[in-house]
Amino acid sequence: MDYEMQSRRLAEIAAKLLEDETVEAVLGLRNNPEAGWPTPYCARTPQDAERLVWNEACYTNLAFYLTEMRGKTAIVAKPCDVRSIINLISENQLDRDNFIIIGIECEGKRKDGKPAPGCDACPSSIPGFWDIAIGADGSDTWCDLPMAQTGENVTQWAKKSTVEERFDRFLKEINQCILCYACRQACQGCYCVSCFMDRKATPWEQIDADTGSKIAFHLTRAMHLAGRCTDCGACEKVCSSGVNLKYIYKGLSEFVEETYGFKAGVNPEATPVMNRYEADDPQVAFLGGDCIVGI
Amino acid sequence: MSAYEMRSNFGPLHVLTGNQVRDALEDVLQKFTVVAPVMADNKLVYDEVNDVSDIVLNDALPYKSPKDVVFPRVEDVMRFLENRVEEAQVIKPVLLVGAKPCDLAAMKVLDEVFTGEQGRYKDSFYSNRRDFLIIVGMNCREKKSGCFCEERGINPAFSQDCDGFLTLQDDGAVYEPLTEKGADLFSGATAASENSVSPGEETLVLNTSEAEVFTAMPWEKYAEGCIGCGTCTFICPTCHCFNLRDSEKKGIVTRTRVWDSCMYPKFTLHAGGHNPRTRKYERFRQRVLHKYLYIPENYGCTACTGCGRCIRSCPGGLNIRNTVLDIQRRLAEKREVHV
Ligand code: SF4
Ligand code: SF4
Ligand code: SF4
Ligand code: SF4
Ligand code: SF4
Repeated sequence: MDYEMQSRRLAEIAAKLLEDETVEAVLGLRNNPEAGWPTPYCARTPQDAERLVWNEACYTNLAFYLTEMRGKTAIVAKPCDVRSIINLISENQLDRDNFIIIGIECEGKRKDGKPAPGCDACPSSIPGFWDIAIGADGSDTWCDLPMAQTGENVTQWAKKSTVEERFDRFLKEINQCILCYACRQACQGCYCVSCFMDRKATPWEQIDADTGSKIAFHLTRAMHLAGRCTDCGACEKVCSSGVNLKYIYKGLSEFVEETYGFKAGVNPEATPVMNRYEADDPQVAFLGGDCIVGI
Repeated sequence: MSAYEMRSNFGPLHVLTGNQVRDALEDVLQKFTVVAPVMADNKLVYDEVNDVSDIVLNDALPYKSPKDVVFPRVEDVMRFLENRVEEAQVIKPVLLVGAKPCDLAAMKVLDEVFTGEQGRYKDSFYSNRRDFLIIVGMNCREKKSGCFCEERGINPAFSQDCDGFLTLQDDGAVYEPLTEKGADLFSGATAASENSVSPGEETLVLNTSEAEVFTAMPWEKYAEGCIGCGTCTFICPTCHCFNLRDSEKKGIVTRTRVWDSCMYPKFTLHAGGHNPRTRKYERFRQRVLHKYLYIPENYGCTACTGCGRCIRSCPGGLNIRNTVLDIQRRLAEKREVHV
């Protein structure tokens, strides 16, 4: 991994795109010593482009910002950002003609001295698709680096654990949750104009306002991301309370892949699994089916 | 305000060794519910303590503020029973130990809003908890990235906004009682107290009017990175917006107060469907101006302590300090042009 070469090439490419007026903005990250890690940055002039950085702490998933951009944009996207973009395209949330992907090779990011959430399970250092490539050595070819792939297999864990163990793990995680919804806001898949959690007078307000609401929120969000989660880890990365619930989403992804042969964020042309209907659906996820995922 | 404030005198200073601090903590734990910095899942938080050895008294600032002690994130405030209404009465003496000067300053802002003279009403739920709260402050010797308390006139080494102040030293601590409630909490070898302290100067303030900044500042640019997550307001020691919800269980209706955040689009959604703050820059503008303009106008104090929590936790890299500095700079430029 040569961050310096990658950064240099990124700055050059971004400056050129802005100079040529190929794009109006380049979405990337900049150094932010006050925050303590690189934060999202939108370069609008060739001079701005010099502020773009690329290093091991550049873990923020920028896909969400793309949905907000007006005018033609280039996005600096590592493999998980691209998976998220693919999911958003397949769900008609992004118009492919409106943006350019500066794909950037990534062997995993680090947060607080540890591999960033999601990175341990990332399948490849190369983005799924791209318009301009920045390889690991800063050249325009991919190096295809070996990935750690040490992420837990949630299905296996769920199968060999008891209901109590699964529930305990979940409760322990939500204990510190302050229900700020940062995880939802950072998630590429949570773009609903009106999230179920924001609706007033819903049945889930009838339960105790604290633990009950947390359970309702996190489990429902998990259901809504089944077959849509791209395992980007943004939800855990933004949580200021250190809540680690991505395993539930990962478990659901494993289940969806095993049952329906579908993986979110791979093929922008594919019909999202939740939009398909098949008469011979095994229906294992329905009540009475034998799906156990995480809880 | 005079440059020097007299310290209240509630007895001499106590010079404590490390062991004496521990013993004193053991002692207060017998008498009160103690809330102090503790580690929870690798994060330093202010939480209820069961064992003295869990208390972490050092220079690290807990990532969330201690406002839960007086203003819990979720709190049942009323119950509607078949033929009567019950209001929650919390009478639980709590001792908050180890609050940093910035968090003490924040408590003053909350006091002002919920119980202050200028406030238009007194919040009984807040007051109940506040009246039974004893606070022992603690010095701070480590400036984190994003901290700017000094620009907000806060002295990280000492604060009088508490019942007693513990100054950590390399070996042990010095305890200074500041009110009657704080008089006998920690005792060790006594020493005479210095009787003056100079409050710092607040340099990060906005001397302006809403008309001057509401549309003239590049709010859209400032708020570009915001994802609307609300983290900034939830971990902020002075943010105090809440929502009330009623829920029914077995015929009993409970009214619950929960934190709310101006960074959520639904915060200002009116019953008729109109929403005056639909854009994220409008919400960020509200957060900045509420702290630096509206609260100063209504209560005479700025509602930001410079603790830097929102800066360190914002996924979008928004920075309230840089925003205020930029507004200050633009105002200064504009005024120069006009003279
Ligand atoms: S970001 Fe963390 S604290 Fe906030 S709602 Fe999600 S899990 Fe809870
Ligand atoms: S649930 Fe978490 S890991 Fe999955 S797409 Fe959303 S933010 Fe990414
Ligand atoms: S939790 Fe569900 S309803 Fe809420 S934003 Fe995410 S997908 Fe939409
Ligand atoms: S300013 Fe930052 S922390 Fe606050 S809502 Fe926006 S993104 Fe979240
Ligand atoms: S620095 Fe941020 S978190 Fe701290 S008091 Fe000011 S606004 Fe609140």
